[in-house]
Amino acid sequence: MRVLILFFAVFFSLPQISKGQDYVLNGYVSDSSSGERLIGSTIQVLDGGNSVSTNSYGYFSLSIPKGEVTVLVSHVGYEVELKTLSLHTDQRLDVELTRQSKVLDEVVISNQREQSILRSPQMGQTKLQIEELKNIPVIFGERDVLKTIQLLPGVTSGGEGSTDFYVRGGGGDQNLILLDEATVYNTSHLLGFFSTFNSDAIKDVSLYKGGIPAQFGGRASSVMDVKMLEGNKKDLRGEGGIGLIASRLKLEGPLKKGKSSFMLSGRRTYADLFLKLSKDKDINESSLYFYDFNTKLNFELDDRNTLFVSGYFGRDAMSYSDLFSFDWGNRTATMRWNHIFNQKIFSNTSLIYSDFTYNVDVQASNADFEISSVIQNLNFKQDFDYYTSSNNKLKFGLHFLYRNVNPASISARENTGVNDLGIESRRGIELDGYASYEWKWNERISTITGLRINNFMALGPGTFYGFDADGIRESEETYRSSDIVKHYLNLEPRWSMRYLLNAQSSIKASYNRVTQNLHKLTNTTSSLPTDQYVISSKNVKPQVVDQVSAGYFRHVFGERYELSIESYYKWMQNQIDFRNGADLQANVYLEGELLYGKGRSYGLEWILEKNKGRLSGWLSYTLSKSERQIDPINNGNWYNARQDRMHDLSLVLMYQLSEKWTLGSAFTYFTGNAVTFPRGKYEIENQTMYYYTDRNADRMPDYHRWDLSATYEPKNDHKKWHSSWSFGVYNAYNRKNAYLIDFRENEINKNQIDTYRVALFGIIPSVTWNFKF
Amino acid sequence: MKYIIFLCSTVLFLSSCEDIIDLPVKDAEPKYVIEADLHNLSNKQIIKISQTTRLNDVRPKKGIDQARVQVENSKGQINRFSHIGEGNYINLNFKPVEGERYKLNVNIDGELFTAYSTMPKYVEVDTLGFVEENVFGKEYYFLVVRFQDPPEEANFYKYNMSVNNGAMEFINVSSDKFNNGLNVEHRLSNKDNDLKEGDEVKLTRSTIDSAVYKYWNEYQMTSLASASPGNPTSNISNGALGFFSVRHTEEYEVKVPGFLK
Repeated sequence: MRVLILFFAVFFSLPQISKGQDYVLNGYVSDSSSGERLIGSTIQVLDGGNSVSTNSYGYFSLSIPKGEVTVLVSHVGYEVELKTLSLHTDQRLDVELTRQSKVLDEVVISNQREQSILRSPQMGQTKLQIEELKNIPVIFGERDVLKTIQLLPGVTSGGEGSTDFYVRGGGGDQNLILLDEATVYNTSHLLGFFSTFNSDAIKDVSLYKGGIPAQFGGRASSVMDVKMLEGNKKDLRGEGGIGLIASRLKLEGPLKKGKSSFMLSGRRTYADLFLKLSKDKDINESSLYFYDFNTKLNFELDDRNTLFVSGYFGRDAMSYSDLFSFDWGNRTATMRWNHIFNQKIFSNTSLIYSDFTYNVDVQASNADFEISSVIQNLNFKQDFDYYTSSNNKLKFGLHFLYRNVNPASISARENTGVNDLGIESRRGIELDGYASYEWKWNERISTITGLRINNFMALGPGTFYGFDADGIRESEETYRSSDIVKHYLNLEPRWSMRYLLNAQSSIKASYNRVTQNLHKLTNTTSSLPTDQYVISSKNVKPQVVDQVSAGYFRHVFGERYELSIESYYKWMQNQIDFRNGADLQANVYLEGELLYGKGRSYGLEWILEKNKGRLSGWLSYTLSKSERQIDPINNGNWYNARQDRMHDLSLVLMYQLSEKWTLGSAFTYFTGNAVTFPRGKYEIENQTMYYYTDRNADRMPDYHRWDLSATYEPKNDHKKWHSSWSFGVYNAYNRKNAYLIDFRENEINKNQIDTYRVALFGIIPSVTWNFKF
Repeated sequence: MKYIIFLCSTVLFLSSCEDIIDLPVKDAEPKYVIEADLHNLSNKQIIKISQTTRLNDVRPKKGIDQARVQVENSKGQINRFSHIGEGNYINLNFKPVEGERYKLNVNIDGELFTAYSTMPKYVEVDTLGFVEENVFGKEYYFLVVRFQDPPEEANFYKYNMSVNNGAMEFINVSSDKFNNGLNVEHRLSNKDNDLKEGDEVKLTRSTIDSAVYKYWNEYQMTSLASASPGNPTSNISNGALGFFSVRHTEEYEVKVPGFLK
């Protein structure tokens, strides 16, 4: 703690050095039609003055020399607002921006210096334009942020149609996914084909692949920060859609006009309704569906205080007759309070709860039992943004996290062929402090220097075991509930810098260390709701990842295109894998089944983007490598991580054909995943067995796919009611991409081994009807 | 867990399709395979020793003829096995007994392979019969084995089945991890899940030791969905594939009865 206080003290003293005769302009930027606050809008003093962008709550603060100034406020997709002010004192300026009406011709706004990728010292960050999502083709026509980010460089998809993703060679459990600051543990519905994020309810998505800012911590590879819409403060509005798989509806509106609002959004699939048509009683009593709700309320208490309450509830259910049922889902609840202490200090206080549970219920004649598992956490976060007089920015804060992991336990009913089996739950506390200083040294150089301190404590009560190198149990210790079983302290430096070469190009560099104390154990190719979590303990050490990256950014062809090239190298410590044939189910000695080692990944990412005009989209290409070394796997030699792919390319294009029609196209190509194929065969009990040697030394066939979409929005004279049709074709040339490769004996000659390619989806058309009022 | 995997794979394969493709596979250096499966059913015991072959080899296996094979009990009494061709080694006068720990010694051109296995006590079956179940609209027959699991130790069971005098096939192994000491029911079907009325079923039920259970359990858990398939962990030293098991086995012969409803 003393280190922390000293650290803050040093940072606080920094701004005092700067001069102080300027006045401060502060306020919020919001959308004129809905009152929704805008994240990342730019506020800039004309003629070479200072600039600042709004934070994740739409707030800004800018120091301006006294006298007459013209301020330009801009945001992608909105009309620019110019304000001429005569400053004689500090001034509050809340700005409303108007959304650009559809532009058919390219409009390049002169003299507008957006907070472009060129100028921000932040690197490795991608923002998704939620508006754009509706024109990017996706499977079943269900637009999805998690599938769209897989089209970006450095992000590899977890499999056909899957919402799982890997960032820069990291593990699937190393992505911190936040929904209004609450951790979402399981991001998929229906075994991965849909994400838990209903894009109707989402305002902003940012993905950090590198140079991870100090305010984030806990997952080693990336941060995906998803913010929900606050709800229209001015009018009651609705939006919805009816698709092949699911229907959705959103309502938003003011509770008190201009001051408070609500947003409520829901979604449900109805594939299982077809089951009801079956004459078979067992089938028509079966189910297979998911639903989710997002809700948010916000109250602008006064000029300085805003309160937000938001929540998510989602559930998947599948069952067969009354014999078997299986359901799982996430819940999150966030309460936030934005407070403006003074013009320069903005504070956010959050209280967050989130959990993930699953339940299995089996009522067969020979087995009658229930399995349930829960992981839950409670967070308290206090964050400050301090805007200095020299227009630098200091962010600092304290985060507290309490986590409880209750692994799958079996409770048997009476007269059943199964015993009760309880597995002890595990508790942990994380206390983090951070500070991060964004410093504009001069016109060319700006840096973000930060440090996060992570304090992890594994808590009792419980019995903790020690294991030898072969995983054999050799010690046992029992702790009471007040005991600290293990303490880990980690310092996580974060640093990034930008050097502006000229008005058209810049270079950036960054370094970050991130640690992780929650680990997901999965030994199947796709992640399942039943995957188990463990927290750091005496045996399991925190995962530590160091990343360096460097990049080159430039505008090409005027400002119409943005080119980014980033390269990275990552060192990973304390990575986890299992022993051969590990028993991960309800195993008291689970930690004895784990193996620990290291990883490395490196790569080069290119993306050429066009955001303006009739034709927009991007071309991205990643060249990368990701490896692990975990004794005794692969005899202790380095081996390819499963998600290792040499080439990964996507081309996404959106074209506005006319006022009514917009076309979309997405092409993807990547090297097949690293897999283990048999390298020989032998016979045991007269059946063929396959002989495996090197881990992940073989390759799936290359993957490629082309998706198309078209959106039709008829013009109508009714002002309020709009409807549109989205048509899509997934896998347009019906490529049979291998989901699995299976080796089987030939039915006639069992000495001949046939190689089967199992493909999941062929060509899939889709249609969705959307409406808005 | 099995239910979950079953349901998940059903969902996955509702829309999938498959075809045979030509995919070049690499070949590994040959490796020795030892299948030493001893039992209490007769005095005749066979140990098979072979080498792995290429995946596309027309031969199912390559027998090793020059090995020296023997099994030793805890008192140092040695049973020698003699080669009868194609890598099969035989001893016609050896019937292992319950509770005894045996040691396998195999010498192939000076390379030594050893393993230990203990014959567990047998757990008697209380009832044996058939049930008929409807799964997703189709009727299936299952052979039901009921028995009292002994609470005092961990027990491991292995089933093999032959239908209408066909080949004896591996069905599954199970442990009493979730039902120790209970009155347990195992439901079994043949490999293709197509038992029908009138089928003559021969079932061998064995109790096995934990290392042998581990071997077969890893084998049966390796599915298409495994992230990284590997060779089942062998209890034989020096990196040989295969296993050494001294099982306690009973055989049952039953006929699938008429429609039960």
